[in-house]
Amino acid sequence: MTLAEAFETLRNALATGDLEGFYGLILPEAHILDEDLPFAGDKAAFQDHISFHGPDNWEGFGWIPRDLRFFQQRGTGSVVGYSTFRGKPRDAGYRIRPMMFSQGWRKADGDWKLALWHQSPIVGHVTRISPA
Amino acid sequence: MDQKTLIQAFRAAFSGQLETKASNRDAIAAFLHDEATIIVDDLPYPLDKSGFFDHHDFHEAGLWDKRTLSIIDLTADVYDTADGKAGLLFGRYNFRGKPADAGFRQRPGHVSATCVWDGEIWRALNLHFSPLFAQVLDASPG
Repeated sequence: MTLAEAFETLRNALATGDLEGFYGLILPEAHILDEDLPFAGDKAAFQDHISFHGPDNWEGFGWIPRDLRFFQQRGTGSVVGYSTFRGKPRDAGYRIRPMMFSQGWRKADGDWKLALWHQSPIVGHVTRISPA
Repeated sequence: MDQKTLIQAFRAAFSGQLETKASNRDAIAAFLHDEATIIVDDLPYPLDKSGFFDHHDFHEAGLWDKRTLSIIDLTADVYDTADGKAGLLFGRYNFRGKPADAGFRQRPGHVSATCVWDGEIWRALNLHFSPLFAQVLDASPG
């Protein structure tokens, strides 16, 4: 499996609600900074956060990556791009969250696994850089 | 090529007073792979290596009296891969300094990097700086 194919598997698993397949591509000790948290967590913390964003609070949502840059060297993989998290919370209007993201993957035993995922809202890169 | 050397490579490139260290630019150039993609905290799009240095040099062209990067809680994970070693960095930072003819600035945020051991040094395939406040205040702007 190529790095691009591994990424597509991750994206499709999330899009189709295949959470077992989605989380199966993430290392337990991965560092993940979601776009709506001010701290990073590991896979378990990420699962807990995504569970919060589940059907109790959202009627539906999607994560749409675009303009992707893939690069790999010696079993280390980089994916960088833009993405949009969009959907409709229950009892509220829709949400669109444009962001940039970077990922780090490592390949071992023929499989790519996600080890790092950093997401940051785009607007903050313009308006929040010098708060003090 | 362990966690310690990975952190040393990052700190050699980005710690300290940035615009007055001629060696700092060389250390950054060595740390960034030629095909690296970089997200900085004050631009809304990713950069290649030449774009990063164009932006870096803008900040160093007499615009700051002093500028430093304070890095805290920097963690490193190193994994064996099929062909070598992968190194993942994650931490928090505070860009701080004083622009010329203006008051001081502080820019707290998160930093991460995906690195590969090339046999001699660690090199970053991607590098990402992001503003801390945006994670709380800008997640759902629309």
